[in-house]
Amino acid sequence: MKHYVVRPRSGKGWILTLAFVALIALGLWPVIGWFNLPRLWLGLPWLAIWTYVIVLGCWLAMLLANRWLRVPSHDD
Amino acid sequence: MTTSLLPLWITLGYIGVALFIGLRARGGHLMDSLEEWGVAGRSMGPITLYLLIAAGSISAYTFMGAPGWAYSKGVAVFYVVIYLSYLALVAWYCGPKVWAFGQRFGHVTQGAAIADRYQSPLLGGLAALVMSIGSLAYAVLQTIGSAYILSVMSGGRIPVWAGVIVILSVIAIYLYVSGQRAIGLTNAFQGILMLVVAWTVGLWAAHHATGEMGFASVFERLAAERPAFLTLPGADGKMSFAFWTTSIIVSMLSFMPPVWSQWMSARSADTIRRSATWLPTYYIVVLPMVVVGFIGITALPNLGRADTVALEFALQNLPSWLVGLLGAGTLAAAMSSCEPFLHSVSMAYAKDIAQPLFRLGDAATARLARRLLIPIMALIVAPVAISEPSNLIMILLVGLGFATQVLPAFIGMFLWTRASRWGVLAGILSGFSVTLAFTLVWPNPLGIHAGFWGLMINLPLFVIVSCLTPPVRDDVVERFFELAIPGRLPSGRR
Repeated sequence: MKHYVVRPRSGKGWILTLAFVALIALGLWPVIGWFNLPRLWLGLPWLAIWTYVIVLGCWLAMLLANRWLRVPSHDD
Repeated sequence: MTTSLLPLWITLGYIGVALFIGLRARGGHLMDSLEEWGVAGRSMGPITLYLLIAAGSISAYTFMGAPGWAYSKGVAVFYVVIYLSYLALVAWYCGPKVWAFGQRFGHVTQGAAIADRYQSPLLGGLAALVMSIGSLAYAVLQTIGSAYILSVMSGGRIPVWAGVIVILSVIAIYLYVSGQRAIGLTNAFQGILMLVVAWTVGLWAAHHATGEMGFASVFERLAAERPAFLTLPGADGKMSFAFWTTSIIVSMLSFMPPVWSQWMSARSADTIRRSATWLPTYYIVVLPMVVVGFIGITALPNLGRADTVALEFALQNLPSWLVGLLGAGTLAAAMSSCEPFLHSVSMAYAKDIAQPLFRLGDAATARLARRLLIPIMALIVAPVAISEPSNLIMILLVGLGFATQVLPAFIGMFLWTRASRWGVLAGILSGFSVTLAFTLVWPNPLGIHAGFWGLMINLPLFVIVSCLTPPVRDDVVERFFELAIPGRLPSGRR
């Protein structure tokens, strides 16, 4: 058989893959360094806020992915 | 130590409720097959699965270790929230495929999937055996945490050895009777309890410390007096950018066996996607407990053990009923993480090691898996937990380091058809050796996580050896990748 590496098969698949990779990059160096300041926003440290921005991003990306990939629901 | 008996009664009440739920979870199902006892007949709906995975990933660390990290290091503790969210992305991508493999090919363990993909029971058994080291160390740590909580809540009346026996007995009873169904329902209960307890304790502690029902004043004081706690590398200077980054990557890529069992217990592939999508929302549970650790920096400046900060603060400043709730919540966190690991080790020993070794039938293997729970608890977990070994953390780190080194086996399942059994074996062995050396001999060189060093040797070697050795049979690779390619999951039950 002809061997291969699995890749997204549509434009939306590529966008979602890039979104997942971007989300992961947002939590690592160097990006994390940009928020590494002893400042507060909404009463929380910048790094804590950034952490929950990533949490929110992951949730939204998966919500979008479910909608875009049109995965039918079979759960009641 | 508390003198009131109320916290103890609340904690014991929680144990009673968990036992009741665990026993009721069986619901008339026959537990004579691994399909039932091991993966709950692949029947769990999205809400149960959400709470099962969420509670399973929130261990006693969240109630003890995380406040301790905040107390000793500061915001470095938030790396946990980030990698847990990334684990949700991993679950979203890999979970449905693992479920499809299990449903189509009858896998009930991670080792069985590895053995099937690479046509090597040896590789499956080896992976199961070494994964069990980290799993058992993890279960022992959670058991010690549980017994410690019982001891504190009872004001020292229940010694650690008795606490270990009580906790393991309760888990053994409902795990033996109801298997994965017990884990599902007790984790659902524990997950809700933890969320309520963490926010109640966090807000109450903040109000007690600052007079406000919010966290702003806590951090404003730290920003003014101790700003090192608000940035990396943290107050103790140990969480560099390199260690933060590599810790997240290594943790994100650790496919622990209980996670596979959880995915395979889902009703459908779509159930996993829906649960994974909402998983990040659960991790707000970490924030209030971390805040208690930050409060402790100024309220309890001379604490001997950082991981007791939340309990100490509660004992000194919160009402008895809330101390009891914190005890119940911490115990829930410890038990909800301990039981999936014990369950998966029993299944792995029976299915991935004993069955191919002694050519057992499926029914005999299922009976063995259930019965193995007792000797695993009585002969391994309980004695080790009671002796409280000082090097247990080291065993755990090595075990988890290995878990990441199994990554090539999963790349060959989800992403690359050419992965060969020898490539996987070379990657695992080289990665594990490097991780072992960089954990025990030269810990985390250049501030980079030992598991990451392992991957840097592991992955190139895996690719090179795979390309140089015969691939797995075409028909095997094709049936796996027919399911692994996006959009090709089996129709009907996607």
